[in-house]
Amino acid sequence: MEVNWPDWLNFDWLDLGWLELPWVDTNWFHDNWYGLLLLGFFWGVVVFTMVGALTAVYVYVERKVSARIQGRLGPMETGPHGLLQTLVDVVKLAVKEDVRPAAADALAFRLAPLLVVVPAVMAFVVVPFGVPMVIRDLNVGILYFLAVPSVTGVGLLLAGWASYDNYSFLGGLRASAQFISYEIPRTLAVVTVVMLSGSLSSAGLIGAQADTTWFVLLLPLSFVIYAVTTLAEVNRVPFDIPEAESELVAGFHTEYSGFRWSLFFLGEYASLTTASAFAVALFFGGGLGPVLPPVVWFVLKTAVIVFFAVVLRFTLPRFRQDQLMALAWKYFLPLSLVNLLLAGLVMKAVF
Amino acid sequence: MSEELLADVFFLLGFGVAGLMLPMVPLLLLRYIRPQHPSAVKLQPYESGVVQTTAPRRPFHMAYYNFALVFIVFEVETVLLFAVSPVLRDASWMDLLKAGIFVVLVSDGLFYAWRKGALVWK
Repeated sequence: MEVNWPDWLNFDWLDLGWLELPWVDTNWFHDNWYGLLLLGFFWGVVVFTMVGALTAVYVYVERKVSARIQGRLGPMETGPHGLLQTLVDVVKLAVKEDVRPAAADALAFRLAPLLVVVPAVMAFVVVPFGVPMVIRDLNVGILYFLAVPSVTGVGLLLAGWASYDNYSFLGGLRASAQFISYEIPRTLAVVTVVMLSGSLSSAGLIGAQADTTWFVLLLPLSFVIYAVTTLAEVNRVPFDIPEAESELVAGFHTEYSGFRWSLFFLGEYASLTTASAFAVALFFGGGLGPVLPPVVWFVLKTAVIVFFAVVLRFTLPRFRQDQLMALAWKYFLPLSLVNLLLAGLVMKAVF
Repeated sequence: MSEELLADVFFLLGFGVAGLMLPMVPLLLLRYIRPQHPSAVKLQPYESGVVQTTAPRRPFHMAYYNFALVFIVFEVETVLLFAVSPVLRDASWMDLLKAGIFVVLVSDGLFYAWRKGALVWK
């Protein structure tokens, strides 16, 4: 790939080499297992802090957008235009009593929020923020992106089961059924992109799109399948059956309160962000774009997709459970199998 | 295990430990700040204001099992496709045809399940 980026972008600054501390041998981080462990730990702390801050912004944006759509003002009291509202909410959640039902399974009840939030955030490792920039360019990056956040499904089921609550139990069951149903069309849509990019690394993905064009132009059907199934995967409207407020009283997290509850929220927003970021990487050329640096392009494109998901939430009604399953198995799965064959033809035409 | 893979695994291990610690440490520390006044009524499961009458851990809808079975068939298929798909770009028409035949054969499983009524939510 022959692209001339400015030096400071080409520089492998994610490897801490840019620190150039005279007393630190930066190679040390890559030569020893404990160095790698530390490096991973460092990036873990950075990414988790970032996601926490991002979620606060999301909550504010979502409340403001919903207010605009519904003809309200939204949060206005705390700070100018309610800007500090989320911050205050975090404090409220942190000092709220943590109620665990007496009949609940203590260990599973504690473990479930962690199983939801940690895999969702771990997916950030392979997100290609800029053209040369990935936190760690795993050679199985795309497979990793599909596999690791799937653990979230186990977390939802566990939360529902552990709560010892009928609503939660149903919510957990529905969540896992929906999760596995939409997983297959989604994976098959990503497989078509892998066919065109010729590698499973997420940096290679951007390189392949720099050589040809945005994959959304070559595989429009794949993008449609990916977009709809991803909404289902992150439990967004119109696929929020597992946590339907009016039927299941919040579903799998009915019994959760305070900080533990906010972890579910964090996980949901983190997976929405990574899924949107990967939609950009898979179909919209990642950070490729004129004039502006790649990172800015990447963030802009991701923001547009996330904004679209937020608007959808307040525009569409919810699917019914049987409609939801029929849509996945009778429409999207056959469609994605046909799409797989079509993508083979497109691939032969392009390369 | 190759050295590169091992390096990735250690990196991810460090990342995961950080990921577990960041939600867990505040949870443990906040225990000393937040109020904790449990009572028998408060610790009951929520059931829209009435006392819980049916236990939630009971046999549930059979349809979930059907879908889980079909899911396993297709999940294995997609894993196999992941192994094949990166090299298809430089493959010949013949190899592409073979991969296509594989996809068609597995699709047949979907239509079998469909005909048998396994995909109906009832």
